[in-house]
Amino acid sequence: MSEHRYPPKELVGDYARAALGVAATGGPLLFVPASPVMMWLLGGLAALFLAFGARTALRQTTVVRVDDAGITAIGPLGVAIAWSELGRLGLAYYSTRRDRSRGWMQLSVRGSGRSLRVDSTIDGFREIVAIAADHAEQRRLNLSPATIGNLAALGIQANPLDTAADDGARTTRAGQA
Amino acid sequence: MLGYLVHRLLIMIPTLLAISALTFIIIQLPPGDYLETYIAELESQGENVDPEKIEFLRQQYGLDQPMIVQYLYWLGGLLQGDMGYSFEYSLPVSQIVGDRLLLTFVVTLATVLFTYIVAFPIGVYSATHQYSWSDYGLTFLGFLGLATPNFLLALVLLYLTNRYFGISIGGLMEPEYVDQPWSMGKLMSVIQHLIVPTIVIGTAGTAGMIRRLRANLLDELQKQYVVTGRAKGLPPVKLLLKYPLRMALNPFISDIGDLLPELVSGSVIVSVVMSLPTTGPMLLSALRSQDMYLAGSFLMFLALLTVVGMFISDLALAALDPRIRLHGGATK
Repeated sequence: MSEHRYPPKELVGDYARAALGVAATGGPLLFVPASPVMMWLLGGLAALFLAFGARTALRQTTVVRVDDAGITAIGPLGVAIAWSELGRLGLAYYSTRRDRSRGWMQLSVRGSGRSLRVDSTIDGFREIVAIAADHAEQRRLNLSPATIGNLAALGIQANPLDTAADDGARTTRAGQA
Repeated sequence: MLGYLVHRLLIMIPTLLAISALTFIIIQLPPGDYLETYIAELESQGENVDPEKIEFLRQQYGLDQPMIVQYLYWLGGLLQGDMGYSFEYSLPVSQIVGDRLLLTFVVTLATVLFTYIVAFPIGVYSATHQYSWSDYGLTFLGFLGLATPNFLLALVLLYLTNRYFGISIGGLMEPEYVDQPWSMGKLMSVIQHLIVPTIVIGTAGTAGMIRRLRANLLDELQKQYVVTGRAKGLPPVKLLLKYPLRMALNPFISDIGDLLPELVSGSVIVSVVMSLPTTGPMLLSALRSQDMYLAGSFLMFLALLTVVGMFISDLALAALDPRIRLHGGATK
């Protein structure tokens, strides 16, 4: 069993982004009588940045536990997904730069109608991904080409033949069985 | 995705502010202001100009204030939906551009739809039937579209539609509907008149997009995962739609960012040739006469379209293909 947390120094940037966003979009509404369109637009954006700040606070208080039974987020909005119920695994990479550098990854795990997302800023991210990918492999889940590529970038090999032509692969396995 | 959305939005805000400042500075860069251009114009026609009246106008419109004050005044006005005052038309900018922005939006939307609806199937067909007669034919048409000047195509199509379909030359509606309230007849007239500008403005973009989609799809079709899928007996159409086409769509989506402003600003010559009541010719006139609030509002609109277009295409790309590029690398 292992437990993982978001290091506070990694969350400082997100808190700053949320504060900056609320100030830049909500600030003008306090000082200038905006038109209704601008009010909705800036108000909506301010609400989005507030939600992002709330999510960051939520992450600060959340512990992600990974064990043989499944993956669990322990915190105010906790969620638990058993490996036996794992239905989908995705690993996305996001970057705001044109050369796609200095980005971050996000692992999303879904099962029994519940989903859990973990960003690469958490400590031991690779370990979590490796365990989740291993269980996905055992359950023969279809992984998207993007997920396979991102797993490879972390040094985790998924079987591309199973996913590149999933329907064909299933047919072949059924034939072999 | 929320994190990506927030990162991307935070880049947009300073970008738009920087563009607004640059726009304002560039409009102010030529010597003098609108009133000086106006005086020179009157004097060239032999008319007398009352200096007191000019000074009064300069004070009234804030042209005697420092540039930074004028900029902040304009920016604050934008937040309140007040885009400033047009000296040339002696009306608030919002009143002048209202209908033009609507018609520009209609022309733009029709052109984008035309571009995508025509380019997508042709690009896919050309790639999947490489070096066939139909591929050669469509490629020839594509090069023809790229090479034909828009204004020339506009003149030819205007003549043909007038001669064979009786549609009036120029404009976006029959002359009797100009400045009339919206009605079914006016709407039908606009739709009829939309056909030629849509084809003319959309042709070059369509041809370019066909070439890019064909090239990208051909690249993807030759990759190993497609060969593997084929070898494993995946139906050809399913294989095409599920994997290589998705990958080949990336440039299609990233084009949205360039497409939106290009359709507004890039169609100025066509709009002049076809007398379209869109924003292009008005922007040209505003820039020439230094009608700064009108020109500034248009340029901000173009900048907003560019930034929003980039934002939409980046979000779509992040959702469609969130792959790491190994030469870039993740830092966290």
